[in-house]
Amino acid sequence: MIGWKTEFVLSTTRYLVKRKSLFHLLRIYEWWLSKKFSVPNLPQTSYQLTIRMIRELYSRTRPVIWASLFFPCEFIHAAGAIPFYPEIAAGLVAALGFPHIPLEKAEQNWYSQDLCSYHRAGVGMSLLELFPRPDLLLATTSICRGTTAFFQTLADIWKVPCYLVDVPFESSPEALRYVKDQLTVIASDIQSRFGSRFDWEKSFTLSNETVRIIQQIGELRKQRDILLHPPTKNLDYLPYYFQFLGSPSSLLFFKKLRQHLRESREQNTLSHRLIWLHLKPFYTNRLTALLKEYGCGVVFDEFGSIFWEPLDSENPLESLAKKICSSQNFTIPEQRITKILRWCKEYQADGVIQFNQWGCRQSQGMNYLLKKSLQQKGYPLLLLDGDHLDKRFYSEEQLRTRIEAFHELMEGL
Amino acid sequence: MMIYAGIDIGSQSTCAVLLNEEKVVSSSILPSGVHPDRIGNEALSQAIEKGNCPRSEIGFIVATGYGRYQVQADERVSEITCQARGVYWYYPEARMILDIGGQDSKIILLGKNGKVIDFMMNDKCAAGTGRFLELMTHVLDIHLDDYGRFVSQSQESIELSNTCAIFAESELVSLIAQGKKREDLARAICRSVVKRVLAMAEKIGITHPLVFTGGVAQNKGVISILKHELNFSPIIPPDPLITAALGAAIIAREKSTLP
Repeated sequence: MIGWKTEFVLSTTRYLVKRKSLFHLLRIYEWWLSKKFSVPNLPQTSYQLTIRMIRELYSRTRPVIWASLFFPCEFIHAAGAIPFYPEIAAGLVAALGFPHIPLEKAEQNWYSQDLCSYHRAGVGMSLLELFPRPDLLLATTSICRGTTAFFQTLADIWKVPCYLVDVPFESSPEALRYVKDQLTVIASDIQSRFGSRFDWEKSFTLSNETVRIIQQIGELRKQRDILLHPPTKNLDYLPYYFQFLGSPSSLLFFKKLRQHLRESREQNTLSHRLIWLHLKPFYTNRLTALLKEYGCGVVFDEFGSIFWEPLDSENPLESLAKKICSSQNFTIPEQRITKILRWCKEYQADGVIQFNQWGCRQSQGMNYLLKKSLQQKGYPLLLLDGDHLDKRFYSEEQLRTRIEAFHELMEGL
Repeated sequence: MMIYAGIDIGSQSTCAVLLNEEKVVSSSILPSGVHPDRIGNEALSQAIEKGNCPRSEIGFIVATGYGRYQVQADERVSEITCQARGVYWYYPEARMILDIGGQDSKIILLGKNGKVIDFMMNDKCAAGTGRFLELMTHVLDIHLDDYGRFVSQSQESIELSNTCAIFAESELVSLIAQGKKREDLARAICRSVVKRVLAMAEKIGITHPLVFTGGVAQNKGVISILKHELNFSPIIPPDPLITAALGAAIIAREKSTLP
């Protein structure tokens, strides 16, 4: 049950987020920040970009299009709309410390605790009318089948149209054509609905340029004296890999990140280099502190990987269809595991950690194969069970014992 | 002669083991309370007293178990590594450890040198732990020691369908109301613990020789069901409660010689 104080805060917030003109005032704050930090560092850059995103989303000067994680953002940027990824925003809600409110709201509306908390939080935040109102919803069925029901629920809550792009499991010329045809219908609807003219050239050029920098960052992270702090930090940058990709924001951010890494060489090299699979808990927890305590650093993250070919503005929809189809690699064990083994080798990893998200079939469905393949190649794998957003499934002592024992295993104690 | 100490502060029991260069000098076991630091020190003092060795001779202390960060020690090591080391001391041929403690259960796969190759721990539910067995004694109105006798007298096989400790309790109440015998229900409880832990062991792959440790390794009811389910006899150390503390003491001895 929500107490009267929380209810009051929620009502006030709901009232405020509906006042578009209020968010225009953030421009003054943005101007002040730009004057105060003429050469912003990495955290300040990220902060300023986040403020701008909040202003754009809530002032709604352009159409707001929500998308599922693997719907390519370049499509939305090219349409001149403002993208919003509810699954990413749910992570932010957890980081801000109030995920229990939307989670409970969703549970009161038939969403079981066994269902993915990213979806539960997204539904809860929508029922509470705290997320920015969408004009259109776009989702793919790739990777996570739960997305289908999630987005259909969102469409019902917000009373807006929703397009679900059905993505075949195996990639083939027919599959590409099938996905491209669906994108063609969506593009045509967006054009007539919002009067948009797609600027593929700009969006794709920005995306390809950003990917080139992400790849350079990957090369830097292969060096033993370069490390992102604290461990798992890269997963906090998820919006730049998804929501902002194809916009100047993402390009600016990754340029800053590259500069930051080049300038921050370590005095001491790490004891243990880890590959991180799936995501991580976004609420306040001791995970990163524990990893740091045991000399473990994350040198590569699965969700920061580039799984698609450079986008081609000559054939935009075919190119985006290819990107969408490539995302299925996350669910095909042979392809996913091959990539993980390649990262282990390229990044000289000592071990792999996967934080299993409660209720997520994509991450846990192939644990047996993953464990077997990694063990055969001599890479220890730690499977942590928990929830990325719902702190009710978190136990610090359980986490500590597992990480400590994994560290001792890698040390050969 | 230098003495090395291992203290294992678990949720139910706190154990201390003293080791010299050759053998175990002494050990002690106390019930864990709400003050792990105090109990840890008390267990150590008792072991010192039993071993008749001055405290000044203790060269290095390693703490393990859930209370390892609450007690004074030179180093802390996880109970997984300590358990492995303690079991290897007794049984170098062991390849798997099945440890059922008060609040969790663990499966540890060992290499030829006694090093941990892989491990698994139960999730955050009390089912499959000593606490579950203890909770169910209240429902059946029996003592923990009665499980062995009751299981041996059981005639009907009953399956507890619920994996949740709380739901299992209500299921048990309903079975009692149906007139089911306590002997058969005691067997069902032990079986549900064993099934749950073996399901975890099967993920890694059950490997021989298998050593059964932890407080539940003293429960004759669970032992008999485990033998039945495994189709072979697990090795049970003479005192299955102290193996993690022994492992901690062995690590203490190794650490003290490091530069």
